[in-house]
Amino acid sequence: MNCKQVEPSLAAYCDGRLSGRERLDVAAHVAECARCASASEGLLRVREVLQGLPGLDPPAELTTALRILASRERVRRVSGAGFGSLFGRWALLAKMWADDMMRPVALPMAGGLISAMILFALLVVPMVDGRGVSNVRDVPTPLFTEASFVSMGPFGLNDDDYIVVDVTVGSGGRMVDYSTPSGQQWVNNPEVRKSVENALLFTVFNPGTKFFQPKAGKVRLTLRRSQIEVKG
Amino acid sequence: MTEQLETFEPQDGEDQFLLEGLRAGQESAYETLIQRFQQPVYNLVGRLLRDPSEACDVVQEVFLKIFRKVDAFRGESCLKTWIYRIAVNEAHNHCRWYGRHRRQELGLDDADEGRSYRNTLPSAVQSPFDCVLEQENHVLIEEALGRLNPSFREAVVLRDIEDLSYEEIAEVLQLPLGTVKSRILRGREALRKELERRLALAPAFRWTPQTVE
Repeated sequence: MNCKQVEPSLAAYCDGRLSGRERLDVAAHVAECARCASASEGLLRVREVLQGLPGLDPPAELTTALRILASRERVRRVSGAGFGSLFGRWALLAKMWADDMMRPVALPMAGGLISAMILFALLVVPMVDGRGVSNVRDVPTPLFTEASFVSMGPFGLNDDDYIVVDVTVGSGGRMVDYSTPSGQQWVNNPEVRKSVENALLFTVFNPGTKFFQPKAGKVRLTLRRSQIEVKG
Repeated sequence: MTEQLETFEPQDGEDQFLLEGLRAGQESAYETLIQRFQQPVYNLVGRLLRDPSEACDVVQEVFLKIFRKVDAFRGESCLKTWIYRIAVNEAHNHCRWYGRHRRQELGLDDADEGRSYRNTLPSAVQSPFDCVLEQENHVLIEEALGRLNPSFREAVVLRDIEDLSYEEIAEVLQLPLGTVKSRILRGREALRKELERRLALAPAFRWTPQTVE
């Protein structure tokens, strides 16, 4: 090996990083060549000198500053000050604020709301229903009852009579007014009409009730010779 | 070229434990990190900067980056190498951005600020004359080191002062192994020439073989 070949390997040789044949070759050249031996020695000395330099001791205030820095960063990491978690923290604050505001009134509010719903279901719904026309198929509720037929006044009908009347029953259980559905022929017959009116005047009804108080209602009567159908 | 490749564990259990502690925000992990790396990082940064009094600021920047980037560290290199890389980069940035302005300022501080008083105390086994001589030598060496090209200085400091392997230096500086070897060689040669020149100017200088304590 010549000096040019050895030169790039000198530092590695001084650091003991060459192995096997190459180390032997470089060592042999260094033993022969005074220039390379001097260079190698110089490099070794430089390394020794540098290793002999005392380490720089950090000042005490640096240690303190680093501890403060670490403390801040640790808190930041634990509390999570990332951009994403910033919104999370705001959301948490808003939730806590809302909880603090709502907790004292939560129970009364819930109680009030449930009571209002029960009252609404019991009272308001049947009221709003407002059934003007009697319908026997309706399920009777204690708060709302329809007028009903009790007994018929004395009157006679011909064989072919088929009479349908809608009777408006007053709160006293007597007829207040009546009307006839369209297509009824008997209305044009004064005799039949008179006898029907007389009979209705003496007919007794059971008035409907609204909140346990009698009220006016409507009853549809179908009169035949042999039977009376009552709706309402 | 055949070389004795130094093998090292990419990341040992202790480093892993420390990293997990840092990620979990454990106080003890932060304290361990500071105790373990404060002195080496300060030593490295102090040697790389021409003005060691600025080392404190840079070291704080280094540790801030370590704390902030610990989540991004995936353990592909060992913890020490990663930290040294951050330190070298920070020192490099500091020199690049602030060096020009600082150079024009006149420092009022003592040049020895940042060194422990222990380094100035006479050793019990050395005569006062030897002690002064040694101090002079150290000052000369530091000055010579400071005059080196920054690229060579980084390589030489990492190899001869921080005692990193060639592979670790390549990883820290993110350079090919051949370039690292070349820089170490050229850095040492430049330092040798600089020291010889100063030796000629300063007769008190002499080579004193020392063992590493």
